Amino acid sequence: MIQRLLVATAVVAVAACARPAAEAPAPTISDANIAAIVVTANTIDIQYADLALAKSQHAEVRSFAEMVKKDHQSVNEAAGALVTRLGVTPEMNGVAFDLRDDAETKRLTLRDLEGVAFDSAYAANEITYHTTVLGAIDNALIPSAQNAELKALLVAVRPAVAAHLDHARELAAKVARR
Amino acid sequence: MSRARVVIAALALVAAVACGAAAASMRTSGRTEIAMRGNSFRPRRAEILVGDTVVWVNRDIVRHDAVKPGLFDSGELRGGESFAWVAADTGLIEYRCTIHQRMRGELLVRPAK
Repeated sequence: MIQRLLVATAVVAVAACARPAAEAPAPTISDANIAAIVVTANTIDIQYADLALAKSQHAEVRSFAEMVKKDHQSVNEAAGALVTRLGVTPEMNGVAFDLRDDAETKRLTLRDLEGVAFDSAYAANEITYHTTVLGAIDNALIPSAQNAELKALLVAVRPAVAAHLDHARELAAKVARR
Repeated sequence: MSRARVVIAALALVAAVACGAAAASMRTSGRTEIAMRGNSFRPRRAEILVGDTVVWVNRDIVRHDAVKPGLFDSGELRGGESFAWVAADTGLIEYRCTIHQRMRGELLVRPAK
């Protein structure tokens, strides 16, 4: 998943560099694709959070999970309202499918862990996941978005994702000290 | 209309405009807006007077709240929603968003002039 997302990011970057400055680069990801990626990415982290809330007894892990779950639910609500208003139907694509499939594999791994091992793996995964999503927002999704409102939504989402990443790093450090 | 009456009417008009402007200014100065944006309270610290109204407006996509136990609790605010509270006493109030632990703000409430 991450490899594919990174490849998509690289394709957009290369396409932008290869064209004359005056010519706008053709989007390699459509707005319908972006909508599907946004909803998929949010849903994945909600599912990770649900797993943490079901398995962890660590107060800070649970607090983090509740926060990210609530935030990603809010983003999905906003994205759903926007695509409905714009008449865009989210279109699953290779990146979204890979995100979903890789997350399923990761959840199975996390599900078999307990206690500190789970908390550490969950926190580490949140760092990796939010790093990837933040990179995708900056390098692929925002540059590719054609609709101004969709682009604005991605820009508005970015601070929450960045805050999650910072918080996940702090959480990992706290779990490691336990 | 005599010249004296014209002058009195003009003075009355100026006074009325001045009073209106002053009233409008007081209403504006008695209201402080705090934006919830980028997972922060902006401004993070605000100085207000007793009797002033503080209005928190969520400018983010994610939900926030503004809570000081015993004083105010906005409840969860979606993007675009707001919450108003009137300061009744002086003092330093440290409040926070209960959803985002690191999102904190301060109100310094001074006596009304």
